[in-house]
Order: sequence, then structure tokens, then C-alpha cells
Amino acid sequence: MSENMIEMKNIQKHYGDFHALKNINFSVKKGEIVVVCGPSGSGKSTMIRCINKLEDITSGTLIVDGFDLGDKKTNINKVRQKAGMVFQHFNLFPHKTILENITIGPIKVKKISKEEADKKAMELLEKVKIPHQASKYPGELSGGQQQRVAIARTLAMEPDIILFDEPTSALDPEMIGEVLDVMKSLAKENYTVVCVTHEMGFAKEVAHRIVFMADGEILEENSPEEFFTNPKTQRASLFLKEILNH
Amino acid sequence: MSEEINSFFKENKFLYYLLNFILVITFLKSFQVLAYPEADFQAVLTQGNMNFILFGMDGELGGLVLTFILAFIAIILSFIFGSLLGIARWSDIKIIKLPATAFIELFRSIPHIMVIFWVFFAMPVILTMIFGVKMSVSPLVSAIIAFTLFESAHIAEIVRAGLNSMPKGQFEAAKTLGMNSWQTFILIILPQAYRRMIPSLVSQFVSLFKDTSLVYVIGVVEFFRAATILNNRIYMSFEILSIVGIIYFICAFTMSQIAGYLEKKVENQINS
Repeated sequence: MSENMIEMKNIQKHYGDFHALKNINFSVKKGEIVVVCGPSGSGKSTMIRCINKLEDITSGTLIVDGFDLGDKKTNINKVRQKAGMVFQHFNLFPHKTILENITIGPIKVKKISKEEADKKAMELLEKVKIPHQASKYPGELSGGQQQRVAIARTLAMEPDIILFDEPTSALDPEMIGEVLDVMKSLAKENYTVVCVTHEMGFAKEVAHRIVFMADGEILEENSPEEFFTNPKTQRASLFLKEILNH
Repeated sequence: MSEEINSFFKENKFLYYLLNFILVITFLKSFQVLAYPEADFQAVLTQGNMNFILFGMDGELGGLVLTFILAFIAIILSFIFGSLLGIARWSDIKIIKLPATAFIELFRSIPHIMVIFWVFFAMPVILTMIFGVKMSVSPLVSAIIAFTLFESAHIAEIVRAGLNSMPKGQFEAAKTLGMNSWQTFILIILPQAYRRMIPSLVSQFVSLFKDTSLVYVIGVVEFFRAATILNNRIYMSFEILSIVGIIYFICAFTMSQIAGYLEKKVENQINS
């Protein structure tokens, strides 16, 4: 269907002998917010990293915004501009200032002028509430601030899809809230979001759909209300019990 | 008691260096008095002699100046060539990885002095074959070529190690912004990687500087050879070699100190 931003059909991925993704069938509509959760090693990060080809699939069909990632003629750099990613460990460029981190993509890849890029970057910094940090270096910022810069950096490329790979898992508890606030505000705009996270509160509040994975397979997909109150599989029930008890 | 001494010297760095300097001089002097009491440094340290070993013969480039020039040119050439080799070996592109690996392993396994000899004798033969006319290569040019060959191999390994030490996340972040391999390397990876390589690179360059003494064997009249020529004239090996050693030490030590200063400056920049 052409209104699917992301379409994964019969995806298999192996790391040597290890079968990391088993028969994944997963699609995301434009503007949808999907949270992917599950125990460690379930393949959730692997699956999301296949979407922007940081990982390669062994077999199956993967179409992102109309681009077939299996086709050798597809310009993967163009696809990656459309699907930005926010990483667990931020991955800011330590040798560039905060402003430069945000403007380097637009200037070098989208060929926007420096003045325009700087202006847009300051607006984004306002949006994530740290405009005064523009001329500092990543090493001088806290984890929560760095992650918010990482989100601004992703937004600067004007993607249609935003992929979050456990964005708050490496943060101190006090800082998780400020990052989740930024992510919640994004939910109101028309981005297509796939978010791997353990933050169930966030999922309950903004997700349209929850996907539960374990052992490389998608075991359950449901709306948040249904998933939290009425998990269909035993594995999901077990997982919820563990995670909601802490 | 020792803690008090330690903290005193931490605060008075100048006194610390002065004391060390006096101790080292005293040690060296006592060694000289015991080993060679007849040492006559005054006879060696004349204007004419020093001019010769520092600057070479009149009208020609030689001595310590030539050592520096040779080292400088070799550093630049081997840095460029070594970086390309290092990136080639680090990459996954077989067509450049294999030749780079072969070159690096070859020139890391042969003694430097052998490479110097080989280039000096083989170059004219090869050039004559290529151009058909009898060609000759000056000792200095042979020296530069030889140094570039083996130093590039060492630099290449340093570059490769530096690239391996880069966190994968930096590559991934650059890729997700849509940067191609070229942009990723030039804008993100290399600036960071080279900062990490500074200690190893400087150490390699100091090593290169000392190795310039090897070109003695093909007749380049740089610092060490000039000193031995002087020795053949006035037969005062102990004095001459002591002076040579001290001058080499001053040069190499200064270079290491500059490196340490550069390192500190760089550490303030990458503090994440």
C-alpha cells in the first residue's frame, strides 16, 4: 500500500548461524507512532537498524518511503535523509560545537547555506529548550542535554520518519523526563515514529500501536490500551509484569 | 617526609627541573672523569668544528641543518603516503587493501639500513632500465626515498590503529545524516582519529629523526656523518660523540615536549 511509510515483508536476518530476525512482517503508516518493546536480545534494535540499512537483511522485502532497500540502484544516502535516527548513546560529534553538530548535515548533505542552517538550528535548539548551549562542545553537556541535541540534529534534516533506538536507556533517571517531553512534543507533529524503548508511560501516552518482540519474532501487536490491560501471549504478560513492577 | 618533598617539587616546577638538570650533568661529568679523564672538550668545541658539524662544508648543505631538512621532507612525504596506505589497509575494499598490506608488511620487516642501501644501489639500475639512459641518483635523494618507504609503513599502522579506535557510533551517526563515505571520513572520522594519533605519530617522527644518522652509510653528510668525518681528522672520539649525543638528546627531547604540549591542547577539545 502506498500509504505505508515503512513496509517489512518476510524479513529474515542472520548473524552467521544466529537467526536474529525471524519472519518479520511489519508496516508503519504515515504519521503513525509505533513503540517496539520486548526483552533484551529480542531483535528490536536490529529490526529498527534495518530500516535505515545500518544492518543488512538476509532476505525479505524492505520498502521505506517508496524506496526498495534491496534494489542496488537505490541511493541509500537519500533514504537516510528521510529516516533520521536517535541513538542510545547520542553519538554527537565531539569535535564540533552543538550548533555545528546540528548544521553539518543540512550544510554538507542538503547543501543549505550556512546562514539558513544556523537560523534553523537555533530554532530547533529553542524547541528542545537549550538555546544557550549553542557554542559549547558535547563533552560539556549532560546526558539529557546531549540527547536533546541529538534529536535536534535529526530534526534539522527534515526527515519524514524518526527512528529512536532506546533513546533514554543510557540516561540518569532525572534526565529521562526532559527527553521524553521533547519526544512527546514531536508526537503532535506529523512525523512517522518508530521507537524502541522500555518507557511504558511514554508508550501509553503517545503511541498509536505497540509491537512486542521476543527471540527475533513479533509476538503481539496492539493498541496500547489493549496491550497493557489484555496481553494476548504469555510472554507478553510476563514481560509486562516484570517491567511494570519497577 | 617524602610527601612533603613531593608536594614542594610539584609547586616549584622550575626548581625540580633545575635539580634534575644538575644531577644529570653531575652524573655525566663523573662518568667522564672516571672513564676518560684526559677529555679535552675545548679543543673540539672550536668555531670551525662546530660550523662543520652543524652546517656542513662551506657552500654545501650538511650537518645538523641537513639532518633537519631530510627529516622534515621525509616526515611530510611519509605522513601523506602512510595515511593513504593506512586507510587502504583499514578499508574493506580488497583491491586496495591487499597491495597496501603487502607493502606495509614488507617494509616493516626489513631493517631500515637495508632499505637505505637497497634504494641507493637499486634506484640507478631501475631508472636506467625505465629511461634507457644511464641515470644516477644522489645520496640525498636516495635517502629521502628510502625514508619515505619505511616510515610510511610505520605511519600506516598508526593510522590503521587510530581508525580502529574510532567508536562505530560516529560512523553510524554520520551515515544516518545521509553523508557518503567520503564526507564521513573527511568531516567526522579523520579529524577525530588524527587527534588520537598525535602521541604515536610524534613518537614515530622522533624515531625518524634519530634514524637519519643511518644515511651515514651512503655518504650523505648529515650531522652524524659530519661528526665522524671530524673524528677522522682530529681523533677525539669521546669528546665528539659526547657532544653529538647531547645535541641529539636536546633535539629529540624538545620535540617530545612540544608533542606533550600539543596533546594537552587536544585533550581539552575532545573531552567526551
